[in-house]
Amino acid sequence: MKFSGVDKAYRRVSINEAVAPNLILRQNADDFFDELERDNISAVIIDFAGVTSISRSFAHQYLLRKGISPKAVKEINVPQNIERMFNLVKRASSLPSSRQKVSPPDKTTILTV
Amino acid sequence: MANHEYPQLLKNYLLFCECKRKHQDTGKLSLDAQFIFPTTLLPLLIHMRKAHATLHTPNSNLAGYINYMIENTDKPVLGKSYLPLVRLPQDIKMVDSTLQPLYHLLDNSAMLKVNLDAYRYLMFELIDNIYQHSEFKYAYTMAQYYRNQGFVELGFLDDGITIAGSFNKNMKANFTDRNNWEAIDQATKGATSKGGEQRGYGLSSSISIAKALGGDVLIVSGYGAIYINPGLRQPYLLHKAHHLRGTLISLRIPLNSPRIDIYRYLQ
Repeated sequence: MKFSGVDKAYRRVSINEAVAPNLILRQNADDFFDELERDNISAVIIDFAGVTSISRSFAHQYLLRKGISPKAVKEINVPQNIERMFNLVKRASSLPSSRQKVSPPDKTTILTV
Repeated sequence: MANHEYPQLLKNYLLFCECKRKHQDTGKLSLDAQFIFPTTLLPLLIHMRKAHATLHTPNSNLAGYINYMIENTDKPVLGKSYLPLVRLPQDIKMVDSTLQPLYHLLDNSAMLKVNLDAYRYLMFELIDNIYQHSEFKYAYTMAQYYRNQGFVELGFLDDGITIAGSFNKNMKANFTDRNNWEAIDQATKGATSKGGEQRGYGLSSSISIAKALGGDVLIVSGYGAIYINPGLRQPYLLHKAHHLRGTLISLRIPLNSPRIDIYRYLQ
């Protein structure tokens, strides 16, 4: 669904007001999109003005939900540090087999306490 | 291994265990120490709350400090070098506002502010893990910086299902009391009980950042523990007397750490 700048049927949401200035929990991102998707408006502008910081977990879940949302989602006023975290998560997601294999325990003596 | 050879964070946790053991044996909760750190105080305060116990100590300064923490639980005081016990809310909409005093603590210290991104990252990811994995009833955080001793200590404690418990429940793993440490080891290396790509980075990246800051990390969960610093990773199997119902993560980070770019450690 293409987002059109002249599309009048869009909703503008301040994520700072809808969630918090600090975007922390993965569940917050899920709840945010659940709320966004309650109405029939096809496009939404997410205003990041006033957002101070974002966790990787929130950024990851936000992008996951954006990718499967029936709405066209566009962000504006994204602070540089927030943009950087989004770019990092996008880059990591685009890498093949980006999931690192967990190495077995080091050959270290397990101490009993 | 003798107690004096254990890392300081582990000794601090064992001090709590000793208090708890004496309480169970004698009915009296007592502590004879000049000073205690969050790694001891966090589980001790929770134990006092759950057991409705009063702490006895001959050290009047220590008694005053602990009483202050108890009286100001959930009522953080701005502008201090410490954050009294803050209880994480069940309502996730309240998390950011609940953490405001912790933000002020970071903002008010010139030394901590140098790595504001890093401290916020550590806080956010470790707290998100509590909500994602622990199924807690009670969860707490506290922080204190020690200007004279040159470090800040952050603590995160929940009374949930433990790291091994989360793997067993969600991934059908088979961690037993004998290898809880292995579940912690895997979690610190990026294994996740939630599945899916791009999950499991919170704890492992937090440890990478703590190490980059020159810090120490202690994770205690169930019958296991792991201590990590820039040059060492040591797992422990805990006796029943040292078992923790829940998960404790303590970080002790030097105040004079040079500024780091956290994104180098988040790839």
